[in-house]
Amino acid sequence: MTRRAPCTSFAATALSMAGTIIEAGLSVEGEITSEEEIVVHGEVRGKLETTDALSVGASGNVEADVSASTLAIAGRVTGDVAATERVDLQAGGRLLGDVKTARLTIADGATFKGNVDMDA
Amino acid sequence: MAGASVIGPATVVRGNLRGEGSLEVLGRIEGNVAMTGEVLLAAGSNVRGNVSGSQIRVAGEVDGDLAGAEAVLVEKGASITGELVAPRVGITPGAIVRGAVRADGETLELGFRAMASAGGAPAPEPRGLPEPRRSLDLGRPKAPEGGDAPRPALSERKPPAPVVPVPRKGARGRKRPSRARP
Repeated sequence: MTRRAPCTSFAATALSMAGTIIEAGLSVEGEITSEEEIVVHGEVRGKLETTDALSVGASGNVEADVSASTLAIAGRVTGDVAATERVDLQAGGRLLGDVKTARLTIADGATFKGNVDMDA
Repeated sequence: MAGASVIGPATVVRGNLRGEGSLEVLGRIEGNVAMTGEVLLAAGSNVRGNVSGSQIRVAGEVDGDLAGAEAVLVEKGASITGELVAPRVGITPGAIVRGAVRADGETLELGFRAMASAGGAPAPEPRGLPEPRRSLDLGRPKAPEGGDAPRPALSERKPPAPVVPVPRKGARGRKRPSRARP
């Protein structure tokens, strides 16, 4: 039997440090449940849950109910949002939905429509 | 050009992923994946669903079909239950594949040993009977376990045809003189 050199193993594991990254061009339809940081530059429809930080980049588009520890929004989020620590709606960010969090900042230039619940 | 998306090791996706660029999966996906670029299913990943991409490299667990526009490469430690379809299919020794493989391209590389090892060695014969020469019995159906096989008892078994040559008269007559030569 002829043998050949084994396939090269994964070289891109350096990326794995950053948790989950949904890049622009990728769209996820369904439910994401995670215990690590998530960065969304692409599209997510459904449900998005993490016990760690979540950031939605300028090109990101999330149509989902979202829960995270801290949430930074520079793109579009449509859906109800809950963060155990804080929500930062950055300039250019667009949030349509209710917010439940302890701390909320809304930058100049951001768009927001919804209710805020800052109990607890 | 879209960058590389990553599904981290502590992330579970229930649903479909579709898009441009490449994808690296370290976590778990219950759904289909369709990418235009490279798809890496790293060691420790678990995908239940079909995966398509330009090139798919697998070192994790997959329960579903893999379709690569260019190649499907199955690395050591991978465990796949499903079909592999690509112009080039590579299976490294140490990988487990259960399913059909269709490599329509010019190069076909298969680690048959990887698959053979999954079946295991044939069960040893339970009795100490001297076996007729069958060192190459891999193709033979496995002996049933336990030893109480529907194997006929020795007395019932017909002895093999005698090996003693029964030469015809003419032959014997011709051979005699040569054997008797001093």
